Amino acid sequence: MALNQENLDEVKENNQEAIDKENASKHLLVVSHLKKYFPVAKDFFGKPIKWLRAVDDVSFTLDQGKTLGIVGESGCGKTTLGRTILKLYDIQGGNIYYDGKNITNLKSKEMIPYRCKIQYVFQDPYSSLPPRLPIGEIIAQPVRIHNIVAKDEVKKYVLHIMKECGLQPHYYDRYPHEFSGGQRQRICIARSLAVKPNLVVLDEPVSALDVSIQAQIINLLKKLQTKEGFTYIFITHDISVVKYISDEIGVMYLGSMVEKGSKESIFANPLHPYTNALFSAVPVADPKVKMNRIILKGDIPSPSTPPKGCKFHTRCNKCMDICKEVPPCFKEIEKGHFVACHLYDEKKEN
Amino acid sequence: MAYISNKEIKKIIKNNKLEIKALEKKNKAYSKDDYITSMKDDNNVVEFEELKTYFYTDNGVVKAVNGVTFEVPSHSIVGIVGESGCGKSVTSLSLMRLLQGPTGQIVDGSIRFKASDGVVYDIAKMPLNKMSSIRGKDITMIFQEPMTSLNPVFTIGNQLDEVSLLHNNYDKQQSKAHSIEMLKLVGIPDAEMVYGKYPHELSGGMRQRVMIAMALAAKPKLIVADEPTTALDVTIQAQILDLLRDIQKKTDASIMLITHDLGVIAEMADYVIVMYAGKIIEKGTVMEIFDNPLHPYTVGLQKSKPRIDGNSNEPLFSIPGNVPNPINMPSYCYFKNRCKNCIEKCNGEYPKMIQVSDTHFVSCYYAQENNSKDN
Amino acid sequence: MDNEQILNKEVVENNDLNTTSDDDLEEIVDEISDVKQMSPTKLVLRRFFRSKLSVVGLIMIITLVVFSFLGPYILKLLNYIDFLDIITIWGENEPDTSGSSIINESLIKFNTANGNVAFGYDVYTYYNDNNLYSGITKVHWLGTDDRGFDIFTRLMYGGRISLQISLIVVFLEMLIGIILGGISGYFGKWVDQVIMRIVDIFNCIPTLPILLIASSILNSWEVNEGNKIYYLMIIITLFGWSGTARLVRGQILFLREQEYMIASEVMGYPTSKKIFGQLIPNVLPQLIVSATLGFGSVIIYESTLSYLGLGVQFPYAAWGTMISSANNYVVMQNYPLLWVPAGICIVLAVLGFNFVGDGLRDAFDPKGKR
Repeated sequence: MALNQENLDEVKENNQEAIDKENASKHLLVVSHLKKYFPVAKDFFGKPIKWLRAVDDVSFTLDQGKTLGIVGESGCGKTTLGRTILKLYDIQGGNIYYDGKNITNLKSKEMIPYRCKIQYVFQDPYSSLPPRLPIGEIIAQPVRIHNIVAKDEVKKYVLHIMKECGLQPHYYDRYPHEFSGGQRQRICIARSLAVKPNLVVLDEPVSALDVSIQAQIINLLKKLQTKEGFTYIFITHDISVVKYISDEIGVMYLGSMVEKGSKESIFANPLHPYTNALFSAVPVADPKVKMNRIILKGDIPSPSTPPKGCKFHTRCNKCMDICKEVPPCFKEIEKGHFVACHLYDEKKEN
Repeated sequence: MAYISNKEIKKIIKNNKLEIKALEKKNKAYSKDDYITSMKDDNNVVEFEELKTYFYTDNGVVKAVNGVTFEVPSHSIVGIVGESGCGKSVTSLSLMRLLQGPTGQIVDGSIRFKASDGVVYDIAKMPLNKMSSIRGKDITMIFQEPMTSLNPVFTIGNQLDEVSLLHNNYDKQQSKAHSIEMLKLVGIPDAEMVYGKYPHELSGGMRQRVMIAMALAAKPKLIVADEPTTALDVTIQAQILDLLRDIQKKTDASIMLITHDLGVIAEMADYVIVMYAGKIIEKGTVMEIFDNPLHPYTVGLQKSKPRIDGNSNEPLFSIPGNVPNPINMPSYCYFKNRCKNCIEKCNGEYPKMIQVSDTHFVSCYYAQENNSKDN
Repeated sequence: MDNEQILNKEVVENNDLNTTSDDDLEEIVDEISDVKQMSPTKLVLRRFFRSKLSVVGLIMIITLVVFSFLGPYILKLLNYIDFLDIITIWGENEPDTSGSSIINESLIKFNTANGNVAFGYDVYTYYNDNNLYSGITKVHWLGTDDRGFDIFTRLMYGGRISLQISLIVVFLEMLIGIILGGISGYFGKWVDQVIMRIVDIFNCIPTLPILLIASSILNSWEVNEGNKIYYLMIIITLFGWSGTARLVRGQILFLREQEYMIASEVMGYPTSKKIFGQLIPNVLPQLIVSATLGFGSVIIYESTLSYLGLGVQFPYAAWGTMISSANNYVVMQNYPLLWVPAGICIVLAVLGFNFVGDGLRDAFDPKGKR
């Protein structure tokens, strides 16, 4: 029996790999059953005995030129997901395919050609720029390292990128501390775009900015996307921004993706109770609109001790008995609309 | 170049020293007759009049609050909205007299506050030691960061009791009962257990509830909430906002809600004050501000935030440029360089506040002209 | 006026850009032309010079450096225009051979001829070729010591050696500390474990007994007095580098978590560029502070060792060696000139370096507004 079980697992794994490979040839980025655990407690010999499941079995695909928005509250693992895709952390399980190739187990030297293809923009424009380098040098360094353009054309190219991102040419010799948050975020974006990436992971790029500056940066990102055809993964907690910029939206809760679908379908018909509550909780800047608000009880449980069964069942208003025991599968309910919730199990059976 | 020369720095520092000295002398000279006044309208809890708060920094004088006039009526929520550096937080710090001296100084104006003993104090002119009878009792504050605003070495109960012991003249038994009552009021289940816990054992949302309980414990007349939900998640924010609204109805306190989020303002506030670069540019009831915004900045602010119930295909409206440098403000309208509706008059001096309706005020030449045409 | 000109220039530039790109104008708004700030270096200097203590410390250090390194030359120069005839040039190892007599009185008890016991003074006069224990005179501004050397001159030469030793030792400490701490912090894992355990071992060795043992070993080896100085430097470095290594490791661990370091990882920077281009420049301020504070402690160390006989020995002068001449109560009581000036020099140097170090720490601290 045990042998059989093992065999089954192997077959399943092989199948999974085959499916992933087939997927990978169709999509720009395929993330399959990605797992990233952080050790939170270690025994005497330094062996981890307790894990924080920051990203727990997350799968999605992303097409060239599209924007995937990832929303969730703090501690849901959205930033870790973004950084894991860039392979800034070791991966505990699952695979990442970029442009048809499995990049999961590449060593850091083998990653270098992918470094300019996949880029990252940080949330905090204050701490993500080295304080002791002038702007021009910050943008030019990666260009030189990856030989994006000929050596004598670097400055011209950098000035061109700076103009694209709405930065004055005479900022070239200035230092980051002289700029406000909005301008710094432009510099960060310019630095990322200068290496001609294809996929850009944007980690809360506007959360630290004022509302009027947010709009500038969002417009800039959209303009660059239509002009250069970038693919974005847009990580944020701000649902209205994600609705504005994304084509597809993934909702995360405690390390798992609970719902994913196209923007239209997910906003018109949110399936998961958490998505419902999350969307209804956003305050609307119009005193006449009274949202039918679902107020969740309780707090988000700690990611190091997630509840058994469905992770959301402690706060869910539609909790059933099965939710407390069995974790739900991530299933396709409509075309392209995935959800992990037991509410939709029966529907399929019926 | 953009850097200040040594000579300029020396000049600035010398000037700052002189002005701070003069101000401190002036503040010391205020007597009881100066700081006990009367309210203009008895229905108000607090009235700000031409308040000016400056920071004397080494780079020059920052006019953080530059002539602000508004009032908080009793039993109401007044929302102050603006971007970072617009002076909304400094306004509340001036009210609490918590400015970092000697750089931060209230230069001019008055803040009239009716304390619970029936006397009207002018907080801007009061000596600091008298302030302690008002601060924490009649005016309390909820801070942005629930993680750092509770003392980690004392239990929740300890910190709550402290407030009652200090301001309500309760004995130990009474204050414990009062504290648990307060914890129940802010919707904390099993309040007795939380009473004995330390702050680090609670989640962010819970801590913010405890902060609100602390603010309520002394039965204040005015609660200043400085970005109370900014550090919280959306679902927790919804809980806390719900709670604040509920509390305001149950107690007779007014709330001064400071935030940068127009959504929060639209849901919570009765009156809205829009600030830009240290000045109020528009104020009115929440309906007036959101239905009929007159200042181009208010309009831009509302349009530049994508809406969850809105259409998302058209490009987002954005206000060009950045908030101006607070040192060396121009004499003309501060928003002129970013404004799309500039008219000839905008080159003149800073526009005066004009009254549009009973409660709606705006400080803009363009709006003024448009308005007079409409009438 | 200037600002306006710059603004006008910007407008022209904007227009240029506008002709080339279509819709960028509204986004490109110049923010810098009217922002006036202090440059970072100026800010640090301003904060430093604002504190009176650090200025006092700086003056103390400069005075001591000038005194010890330029002092002899200045004296020589002054000698040419010496109207009052008060300057006499002495060498480091040049005794005053004018001779001296020291009268020593002691109370003694003796029996008189008729058998009574009486008290009286026994007076000896010692004659010496050299002028020993001279008081303050026109020729010897601070007197001479037990060998007839001019104390003022030896103070200058002693300062030279003391300051040189501290400079070299601090440099070596920094070098070892940066390399080992940097490796340990950057690579982590087992490398970090190994290096940090070594640091721990060096931290828990009791310094003083080891020094005493080393001192006796060196004496038994009969090491040349001139070379002892190098042994001294090595020993002080050995006991001093671990602190620096810890500091650098801690800083690098902190910086590694900063987003711009993760950003440089994302950019695919090579390791050397990450370490020397990004990490080291950001650790420098802390290193400068720790080095400055280190100078003071090395000077104290050096004096202690010299006093114990491990350090610089006769005929070379060092402040610590000079104090060690006060190792008996006669000198201590009767000839304060032998040890007080050297002691004052040490106190001044250590205080000065500590003041400057504290001042620098406050100046580099970005949170310190005042």
